Amino acid sequence: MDERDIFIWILRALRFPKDMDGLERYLDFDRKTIEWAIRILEERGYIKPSKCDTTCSACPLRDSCSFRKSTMWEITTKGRQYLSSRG
Amino acid sequence: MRVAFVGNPNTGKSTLVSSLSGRDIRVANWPGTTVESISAQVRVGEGVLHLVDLPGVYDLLDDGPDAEITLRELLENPPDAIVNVLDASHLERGLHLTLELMELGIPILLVLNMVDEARRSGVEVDSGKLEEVLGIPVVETVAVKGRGKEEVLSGILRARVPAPPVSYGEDVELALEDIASGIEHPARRWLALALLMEQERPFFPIDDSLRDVVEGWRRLLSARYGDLFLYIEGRRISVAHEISSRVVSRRKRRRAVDEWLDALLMNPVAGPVFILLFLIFSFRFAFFLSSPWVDFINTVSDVLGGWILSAGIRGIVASFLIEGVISGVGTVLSFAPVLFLFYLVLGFMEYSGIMARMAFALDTLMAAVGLPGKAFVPLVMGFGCNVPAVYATRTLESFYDRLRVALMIPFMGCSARLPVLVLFASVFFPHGPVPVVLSLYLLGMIMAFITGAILSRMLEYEAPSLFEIPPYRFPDGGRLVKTAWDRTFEFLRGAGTIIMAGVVLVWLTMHLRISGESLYSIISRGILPIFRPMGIQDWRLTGALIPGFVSKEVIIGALAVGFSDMANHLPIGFLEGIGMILDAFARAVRESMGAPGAIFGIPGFRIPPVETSLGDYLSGVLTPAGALAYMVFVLLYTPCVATVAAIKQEFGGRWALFSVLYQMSVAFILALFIYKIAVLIHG
Repeated sequence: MDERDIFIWILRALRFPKDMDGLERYLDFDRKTIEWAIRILEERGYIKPSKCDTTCSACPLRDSCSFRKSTMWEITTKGRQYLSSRG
Repeated sequence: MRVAFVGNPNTGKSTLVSSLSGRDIRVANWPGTTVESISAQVRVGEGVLHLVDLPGVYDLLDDGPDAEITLRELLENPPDAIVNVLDASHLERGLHLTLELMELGIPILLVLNMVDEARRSGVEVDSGKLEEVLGIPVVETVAVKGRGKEEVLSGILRARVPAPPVSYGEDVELALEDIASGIEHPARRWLALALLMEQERPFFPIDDSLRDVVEGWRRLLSARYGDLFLYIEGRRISVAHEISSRVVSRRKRRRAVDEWLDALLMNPVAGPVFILLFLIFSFRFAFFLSSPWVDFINTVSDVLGGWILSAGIRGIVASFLIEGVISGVGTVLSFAPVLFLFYLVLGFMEYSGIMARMAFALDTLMAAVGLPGKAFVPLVMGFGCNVPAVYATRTLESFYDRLRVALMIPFMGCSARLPVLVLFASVFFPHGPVPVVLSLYLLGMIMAFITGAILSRMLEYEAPSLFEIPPYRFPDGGRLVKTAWDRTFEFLRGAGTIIMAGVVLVWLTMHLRISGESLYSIISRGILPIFRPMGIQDWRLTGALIPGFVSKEVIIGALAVGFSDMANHLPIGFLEGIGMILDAFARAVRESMGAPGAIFGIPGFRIPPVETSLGDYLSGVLTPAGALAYMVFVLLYTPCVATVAAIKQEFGGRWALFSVLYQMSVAFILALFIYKIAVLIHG
């Protein structure tokens, strides 16, 4: 595996959902590069926007919820398979 | 020659094409809007460049109409050269497209646009290193201000086909070679990569046999690399990231104290107030700390003169040694302490980063006279010496800005004029010499700004430019002292030769008699009527202004020679002289210890007025109003011959002559005006 491969790093990072700020803290790449890499991974089905199943009014964490502020991303089954084959 | 402009959206491609061709071009490239390529023409020497402005793309394989138009243009109608425009603030992101374009087999020029914005946000790109790493020409531009146009045009002619910038591994390279051998197109490598990435395009169909070859390689390589699209894109991103880390430097996150200092220094209101206070304390520091040492050097001069007489030397030789050599050079040497301290303060301002911030704070003020804030730096340097300050105008980009600043500089009273001002202020205004000298310096600055404002109306105005703000540093004390000493020594060595020549010339003209009257006296008396209206009645005062054109340092020397003609020198014994020198040294050390208190104005401490024999003579031939007029004239009149030579060298003889005549007129009118006002007030 290429340790400098941004796609592998993003897939690894998204085993736990993160938004752009979270990814930026995790990766040593320019924010614009990360945004673009996320787009490619989403288009190819490796990651997807993470959604919350609880309605906001019923949620005890609503005031500190990151889902309300920005898009959270998470790895898909295809992404997990790719990561395990490449890891 | 057809040149295609390619880059990420919003990198300033259209602005650059408009700037090069002089044609207003707008390309709509926001989502959902129909886009098209737009072309313009520009003549370069004998040839014509056809500039094709293509829609912004992040990747040639992007979905959507923008990328399709760009890719079709590049593949169906390959240009003779590509100008790849990048936003310097986002080099890593832009380089990904660059690496892709470099695989098209077309000559390419890389343009780093918006470098000013990048610098402002703390991003510095080493374009030289980038050129070396990529092997293609790289130029910097600020398209919106039209900067770098010439470099782009000459860069297009230097553009060349680059070597493939990314290596994908031995097996992939072998596959690329195999696939490319079945493609008849200059961009065969890029097309082979696109086929491996499953990115066939209808406008570039391939035959079945090639498709089989690609399929075979794809199966083989996927087993090793997984998703080939991700692998190839990942390699490009890695290389772009690696190159970017090598050529981009970012300013470190700043400390809170730096932010606080910037908020104060760079504030348009508080900044100039702080600068004024800073300059006041700097002047006080230089004056008060140097004053005891000036007295010490004067004592040494007196003792040397006394020893010459004790040695039995008399007549013309004694006169030459005492009134010429010791009186002239000794007087100038006595100002070494003030120069050293002044240069120490200037050095502190330079190295600490305060000077650059002062320039920023004064940007608005400077803009009022049509100058960028950084013009302030050569103007401040003018306080030290006008000659290097004139050369320092080279830091300004525009010729007219440089000229304006160079003509303003002589109004910034250089340190050579300082001794004259200090001497007269100490003699005639013993209770407040510092405010008098400071007011005169302010007058010079006001005249400089009026000159700048007048010239900005006469000369072409160019928009102020941005300048770099260095980080705050605490200056290295040793380096400061060394620099201050070097500058002082350079000044004294340079001035010493001129002063010696000037003093000898003055001494000779004083002793060369025609019909019983000295030549110096004849010339000085000849021009005296011009100065009488401003209260100057003694020919020795006007006489000192003549060698003052050679060098301002000579004024004091010439006055000393002129008036010491009447001096009554007494022989001093050897031991008596040593005692006087030691006593003066001890007094200088003692007073220096107390000087810091005086700098911050602690009550009860006062520097005693300078008491020199020259001062006594001057107070006998001038009134305070006349002295003020004389000081104004000395401050503002014709710059020294070295400054005039520097202006001539930089801007031509016409402007040098203008500088001489303009300053002479300003000095005369203002000196007369101030004398009349002073007489009206004090009678």
